[in-house]
Amino acid sequence: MAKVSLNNISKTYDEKEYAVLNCNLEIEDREFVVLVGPSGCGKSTTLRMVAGLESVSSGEIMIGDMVVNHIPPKDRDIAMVFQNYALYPHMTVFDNMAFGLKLRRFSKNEISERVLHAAKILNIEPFLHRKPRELSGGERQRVAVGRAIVRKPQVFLFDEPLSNLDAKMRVQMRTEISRLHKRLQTTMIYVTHDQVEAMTMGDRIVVMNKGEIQQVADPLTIYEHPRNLFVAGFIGSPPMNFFSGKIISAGSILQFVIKGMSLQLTHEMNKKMHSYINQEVIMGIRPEKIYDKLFAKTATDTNTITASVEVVEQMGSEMFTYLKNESADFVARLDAHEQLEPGQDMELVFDMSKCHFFEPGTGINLVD
Amino acid sequence: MYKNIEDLSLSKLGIHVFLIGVSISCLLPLIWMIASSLKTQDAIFTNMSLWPEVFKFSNYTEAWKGGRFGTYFLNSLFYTVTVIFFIVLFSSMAAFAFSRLDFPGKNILFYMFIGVMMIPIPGVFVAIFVILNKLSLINTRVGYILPQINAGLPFSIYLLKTFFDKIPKEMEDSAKIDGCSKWQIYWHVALPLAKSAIAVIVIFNALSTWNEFLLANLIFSDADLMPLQVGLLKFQGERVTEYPQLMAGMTMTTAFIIVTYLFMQRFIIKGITAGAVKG
Ligand SMILES: Nc1ncnc2c1ncn2[C@@H]1O[C@H](COP(=O)(O)OP(=O)(O)OP(=O)(O)O)[C@@H](O)[C@H]1O
Ligand SMILES: [Mg+2]
Repeated sequence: MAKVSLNNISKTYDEKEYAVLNCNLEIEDREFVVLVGPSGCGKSTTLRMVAGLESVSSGEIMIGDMVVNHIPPKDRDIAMVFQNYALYPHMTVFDNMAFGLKLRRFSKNEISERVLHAAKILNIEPFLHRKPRELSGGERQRVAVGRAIVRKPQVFLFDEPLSNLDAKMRVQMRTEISRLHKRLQTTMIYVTHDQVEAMTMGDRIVVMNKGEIQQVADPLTIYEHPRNLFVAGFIGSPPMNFFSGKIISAGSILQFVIKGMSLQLTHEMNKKMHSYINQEVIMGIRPEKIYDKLFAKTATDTNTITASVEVVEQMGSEMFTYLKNESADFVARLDAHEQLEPGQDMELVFDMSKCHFFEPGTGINLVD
Repeated sequence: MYKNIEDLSLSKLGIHVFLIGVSISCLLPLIWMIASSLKTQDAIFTNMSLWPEVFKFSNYTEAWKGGRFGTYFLNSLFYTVTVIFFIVLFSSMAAFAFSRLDFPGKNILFYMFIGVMMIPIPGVFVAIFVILNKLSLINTRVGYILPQINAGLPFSIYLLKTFFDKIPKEMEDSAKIDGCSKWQIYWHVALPLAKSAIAVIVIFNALSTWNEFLLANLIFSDADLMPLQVGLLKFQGERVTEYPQLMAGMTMTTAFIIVTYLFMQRFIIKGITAGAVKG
């Protein structure tokens, strides 16, 4: 059990481009932190630096109170689970799990005790004498997790461990890993590009893009108070709607306008956005903060617009409705039972208290 | 429908007849050899059947002892085992280094090895002879073993490198985290995974070393050091008349190769990495 600190970590493979740039991150003891971001953003590189599989170009990594930059992986007291399991095909499940302990010269009894215990937790007892090729993907991933937990490391590292599994298995393993975390009370760093995994599993989420950390916060904060345009667009499905327009002042009230459409800012927003009058901004609003006027509680002339239905995606519990008018395309998350036909016009109400404004150049969230 | 099935079975029949014919033509000399090795000296010229009237097993013991055949056999066994051992050892270490380690000049060195593969061995006999002579290794066991190890290395390195290249990076990473040093990765992970490639190397080199004749003929003058192939020639020269014993010797020579092959065949299983990593 230990905390992990990244102090100004950078990594370059070719001395030209940075795969990871100036990352600062404090991971508390027993915390479950998820690194999430698009492909190639440097998640794996960051994790592999913590593991010691990749050298650190600059900066300092600490596990516990120890700077580990130059300590080889085997002495860092970490365990890692890989996307493609990386089990040893010539060893049985038991031997796969016992291998690390054997190398560390644990006694035979201790080894079999630990392996059996882990096998029990993970429900892989019946497979202990099979070879990896005789297992299904989900079972293999369990063995890979088992191999990590028998070592009782200070930190667990997961690199997209579930992305080779089918959807159902993924959901099941997701809860299992969460449960495992509660049970083992060990620091875990989990890499994924799946935002659902990030939202559901992490105590805190680290959103990365192009090698840089965009925001570190708990899932709800990330969702409701994204620090910039990237985080706002990356987390959430369907993603946040963005509109490029302008802030104008109509007397004491501010309005956001795009072509024919104008929306009035709430009082709170008014204060924050005062200095942006007559400037271009990007407004963002989540699909579930757009309502059908027929059912909206707070419809007024100043937060309602008309748009025509383009496509309706029925999800059963809800309905993603893709809408279009002369000034914008956007998506709203409406009740599954609404009767909507593509091509029909409808009136929509924007919950302006829940919208965000971003600066177009830097992408910074101006209201949070 | 009926016609089709008939065609099928007819063509199958044809194939079978052909294959049986091939088998017989391959096996017949072998069987004749074994049969002759059990006949008496007289019977060998008079009894043409493949079934000896009297089984004379003593041909084997006589060949082994009297004809120095035992010496030749043990020599061959020693040369083959030693050559194979060092080929497997050196080629697997070299291939692992070429595949998994970074060091300056790696590619050039590797291409040099591959390049050497294209030179036929008899082409360098003169050079080998001169070198062995300068090192005073003519007519020594070491002088016979070294060039053969050398000759077997390039192909083995090449084969094993392609094999090691296929071992996923994650497997190596996970071994590192499990606590393996480079040597332990080589020993615990890379080598066991290359079992089938090693079996191929063992069979090929067992065949070529066991059957090697030219080099042995070139460097050995001392009969105590000679391997079978040269020994048999001598044997034939000295005892022109002892056909059954010669056949007994040849049967034992052949048996070794067949046994080796049957034994190693078990290890040549395809897809040895299947299931390690989701493909
Ligand atoms: N061994 C390597 N050599 C050179 N460049 C590399 C190496 N590994 C990664 N990179 C580069 O570093 C950047 C970050 O890669 P990384 O693997 O960390 O991304 P990732 O966030 O894990 O992506 P993914 O979700 O696709 O796994 C990429 O641009 C990649 O091309
Ligand atoms: Mg990755």
